[in-house]
Amino acid sequence: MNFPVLLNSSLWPLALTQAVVLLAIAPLFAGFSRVMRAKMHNRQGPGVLQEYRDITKLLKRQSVAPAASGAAFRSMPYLLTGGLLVIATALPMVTLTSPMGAAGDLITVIYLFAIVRFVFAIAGLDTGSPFTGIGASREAVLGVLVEPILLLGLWVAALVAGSTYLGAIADCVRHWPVSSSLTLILAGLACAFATYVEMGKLPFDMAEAEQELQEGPLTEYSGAALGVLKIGISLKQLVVLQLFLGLFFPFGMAENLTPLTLLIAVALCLLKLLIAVFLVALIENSVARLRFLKTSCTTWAGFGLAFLALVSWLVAG
Amino acid sequence: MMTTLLELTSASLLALAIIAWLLSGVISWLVAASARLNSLISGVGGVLASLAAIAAAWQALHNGQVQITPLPLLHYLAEFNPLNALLLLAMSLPALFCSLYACAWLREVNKRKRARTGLLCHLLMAALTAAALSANALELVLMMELAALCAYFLIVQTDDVKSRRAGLNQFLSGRLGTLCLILCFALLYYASGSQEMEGLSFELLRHTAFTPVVKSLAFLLALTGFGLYAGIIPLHAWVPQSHSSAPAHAAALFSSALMKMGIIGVIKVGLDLLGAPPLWWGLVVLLLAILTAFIGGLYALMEHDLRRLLAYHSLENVGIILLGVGGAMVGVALNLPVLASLALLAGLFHLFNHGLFKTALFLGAGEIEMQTGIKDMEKLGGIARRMPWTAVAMLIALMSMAALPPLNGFASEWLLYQSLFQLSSSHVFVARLLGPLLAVGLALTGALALMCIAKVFGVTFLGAPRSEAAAKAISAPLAMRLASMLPALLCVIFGIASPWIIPHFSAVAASVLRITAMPFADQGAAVSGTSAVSAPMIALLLLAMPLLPWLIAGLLRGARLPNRLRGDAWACGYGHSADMVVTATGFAQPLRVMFAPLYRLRQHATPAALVAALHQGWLGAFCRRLAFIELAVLLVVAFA
Repeated sequence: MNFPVLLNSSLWPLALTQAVVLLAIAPLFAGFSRVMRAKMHNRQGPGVLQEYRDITKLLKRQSVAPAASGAAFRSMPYLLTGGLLVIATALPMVTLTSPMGAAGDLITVIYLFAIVRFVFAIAGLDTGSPFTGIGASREAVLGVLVEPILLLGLWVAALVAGSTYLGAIADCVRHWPVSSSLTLILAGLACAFATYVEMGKLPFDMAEAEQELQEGPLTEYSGAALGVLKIGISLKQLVVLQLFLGLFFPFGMAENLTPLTLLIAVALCLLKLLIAVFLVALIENSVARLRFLKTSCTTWAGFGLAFLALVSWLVAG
Repeated sequence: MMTTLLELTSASLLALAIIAWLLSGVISWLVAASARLNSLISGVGGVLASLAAIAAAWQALHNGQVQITPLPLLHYLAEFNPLNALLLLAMSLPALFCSLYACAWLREVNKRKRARTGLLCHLLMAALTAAALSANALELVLMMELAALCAYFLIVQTDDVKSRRAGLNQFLSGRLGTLCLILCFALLYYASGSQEMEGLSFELLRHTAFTPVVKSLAFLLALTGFGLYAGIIPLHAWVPQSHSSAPAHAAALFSSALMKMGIIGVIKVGLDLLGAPPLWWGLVVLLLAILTAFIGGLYALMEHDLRRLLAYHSLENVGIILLGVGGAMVGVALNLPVLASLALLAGLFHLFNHGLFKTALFLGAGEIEMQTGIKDMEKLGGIARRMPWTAVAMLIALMSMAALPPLNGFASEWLLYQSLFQLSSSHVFVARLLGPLLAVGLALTGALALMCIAKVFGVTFLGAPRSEAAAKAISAPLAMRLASMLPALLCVIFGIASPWIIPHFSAVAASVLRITAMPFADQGAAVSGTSAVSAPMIALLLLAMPLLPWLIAGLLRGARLPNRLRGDAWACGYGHSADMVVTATGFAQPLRVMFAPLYRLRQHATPAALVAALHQGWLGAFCRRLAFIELAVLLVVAFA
């Protein structure tokens, strides 16, 4: 197999473009989520563009932080967003291969998410606030609970594809191997579960729990820093979602780059994201938060799915 | 005779290194009354000895041939092969930084401590340097025993209850380990039917055919013996507290040299000496490895003593290295050369990397301890502002330990994941079942490590200081700062430049497996056959991408006022007080609840009655005398 590894592969402009575009539309999808919530609560609610208005306003405001905070706290919004942008370059979005081959490997992507989690957690400990510290701890615990599910689900899909390369997995799913249907469906379900938990939506809204922890590690942010962080958090949800959609719903993605296939792929990609956000909003607004210490009982179900995928792969082989 | 020393072949350089370790140790002991002279001789001698050893290892690696030569001036037969040379390099590089650290540390402590620590550390390193290159089993066991005894005295030097207990644990494990090794090699000696001492040389063992029963028995004995040195769980009783009781640089040497000796022992017996291993050996090693990695990572989270926590992480990393070794054994057994060489490459690379980041961490922890007098991280906090260099070095090393890209820990763990992928896609059912589960175990361990490094860095270095001493800490002396900064820098270099470094490790792995080397790297990327990752590119992206949000925030700033730092954190309308802030215990509390049965395992495995019976005063005192006599006897034996 040939890996487009370094910048000399011709896809790198696409990689950068897709990262920037994801960043640009992230507040739009967050706004869409808010509209959905308002509709489900039977209230008027803000417009779809409200997130953009909030963020531009916040960016003009001064950042105020507690005296105990330091560099880890101040730099976190930028590092978090930057780390997610790196992941965004590597995701198969409109092409069936990862446009940034250098990072287009599932182990690499999982560990890049770990960087994001790490900067988020240490920023929570760098304030001296009682809420942010608990939020940081919860974020790290969610990592412990979710990472095995995500890894096992993706690993089984990678075994079917014969490579841990994201492009290879997407390609394999695109040309759906019928003999491994059950395996791929189970692996996809497990990854969907892990994706949902990673997005931090109810009932898994643990680290940034608004009512319970005053938004956890976000508590002490204000002004410009909060604005950047808001973009970052909505980008995180899109990136996690796209990782799942790119691998398990690669239908319509371009195999050869021509303007027409590209256009179709872009339209389909946005449509898929929109539907996914819609579904997520439906679930989010119809459930209550889990008790944090009981979360592990629920995540076992996700791990069970991934394990069943492994069993079916072992049997079908 | 002296001229042979100056020929600068690897044999003479090695002899030079051993002599420098011994001489500088003894001289610094003699002049212990003068702090300045003692630390200078000890430090300079250590640095020179490490440099000579590194040069010897470099030459032997470059040479790549197996070469058995007697060392000039010393009655010692050394076997230079790539594996031994790599081990020598992996332990001498940390020793270099430890000597630098010792240079500053020895000035600050009392005479008694100075005299003993200097001598014992150098003796430990001399013994380990010799053990790394040993050409026969007798030398290996003798030198390891010497090193273990030096370690024992380094541990019991701090004369408190915990240290005495740790010392006794180490003494008993060490003797049991040596006993197992002696039994193992005695068994092989008799089974080979040879009459002379030559029968114990590794070269001869390689060419002797043993019956499967003898082989398996010898392997199990060796696995127990070396496992006690390496700290494979459940044989790890001596590890955690020893690393806290001994001086920081000695603890760094335990982790990066003494425990590595055990791992290399497992590689030697499992892959090199006894020929191709049967499948179940590899499976046993793999299962022990994942147990060690997982339990090590889990128990590290519950520690507040910084160095005990790091010791549990050493166990975790021993487990990760052994995953590579076990994978290689399975690869050889199933005749899958790609799996075998990839797994062994990952194991060896991680072994090397672990030495680097663990040295930076232990030395950094030592600096904090020296400047504040505090071991418990619950009482620290806000150290990053007072000791910025130490904080940066520890941050890099911690991130490397949690395998965050693009650092060196990630480079080796990525290779390990790829070898597990090879294992999963083999055609044997048990490998197909075990491969994915081991990968999940490794991912779980990685997530635990991430939580743990967030705890260590967040609680120790960030936020507000939790004690007077932490608030008044000042930067450590330059030599100490350098000693922790340099290995951290090497962590970055070995991570980003990994595509160019991996082929060298691959060559070593291939020479152990006796197959042609596969490069596993191409055009600035690590390539495994089923995937690729380019660390330099990721580094570039990770540096460049945060600029984008920064630019956006800059362009849309309008009439924004500069950032302001003021006041306490918001506490829901109540007055803020320092003890509201989450502690290290609070941070890890959810896991204590979720994994409660596993944490209770410790109480079940070591009932209080047994511990009390073992740690009665007389046994400790008896063992101390015994250790002293044994050390004296062994020293005489070694020099005779």
